[in-house]
Amino acid sequence: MVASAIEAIGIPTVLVMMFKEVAEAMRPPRVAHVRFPFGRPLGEPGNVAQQRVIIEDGLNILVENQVPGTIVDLPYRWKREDYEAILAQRSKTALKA
Amino acid sequence: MAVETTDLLRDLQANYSRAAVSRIKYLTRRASEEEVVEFVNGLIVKSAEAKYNNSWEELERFLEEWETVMIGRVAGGMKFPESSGVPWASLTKPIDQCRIALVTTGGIYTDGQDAFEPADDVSYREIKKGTPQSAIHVSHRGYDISGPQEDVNCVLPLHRFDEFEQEGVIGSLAETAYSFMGLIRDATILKDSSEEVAKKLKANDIDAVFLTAT
Repeated sequence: MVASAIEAIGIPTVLVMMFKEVAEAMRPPRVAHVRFPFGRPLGEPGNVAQQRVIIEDGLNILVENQVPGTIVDLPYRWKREDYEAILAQRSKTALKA
Repeated sequence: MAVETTDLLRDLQANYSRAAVSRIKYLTRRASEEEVVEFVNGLIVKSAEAKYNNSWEELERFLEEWETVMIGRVAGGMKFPESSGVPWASLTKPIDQCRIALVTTGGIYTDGQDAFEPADDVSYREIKKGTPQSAIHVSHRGYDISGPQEDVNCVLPLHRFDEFEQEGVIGSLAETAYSFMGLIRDATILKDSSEEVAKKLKANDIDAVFLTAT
């Protein structure tokens, strides 16, 4: 609802959320769906690397996604990822580019 | 030994507010007695097999299947606005030149502001850039609020975006973020306050908005 109102006034949005069924019903313009516990859309409290990974993915969806109403499923399995390694890999890729 | 099937999940209800059970907790309200029996039996078998085989993936899949079914039933009981297409705006500049604002439905408020009503509160709070963790408060009965009480960035990433601004990943972070409280049974009642926030963002020349829902 909020995302759509902001988009309707002319500002692009991306929404990170856990409740996929609600996303499917509400159809916000751009959604990053995470299979995280409710109340933790960007990750664990204090886990800076995890939060940065999710936020960066959200910003990438903002740049790259051109199909209205698309829900992107992010693959991360809560605590069982090495988020530091994911960030390190990304900065390496960015340097190459 | 006679046990009511609903009693089997009583402790899950007692743990209702804990993040780890936040996806499976809907079993207590959305499953039939037969389903509760099926779930508990399945849980015992899958757990024992997982331990025996030292492989927890089947157990994880089992839990996720039940979470998905029960969460789907919760969504089925909610009311959504009539769909009139998906609104769309395009980014007009690269991210590292964008002025980005944050919006959440996580029920965040700060020192000196009022808490949210327990449900169906359509008001919002303005959260200033640079607000320290010590000034952050949360009121939301729909999830385990200990996360943002400890670190607001897991819901409203004020400090992560400050870092992104300093590192040049984004152009800048807007002076004001907005928090709603998402425990609202009928999303259509949010229309007026959503449009009010949209106008404020527009008036402040915001290029893009990063939102989270809890």
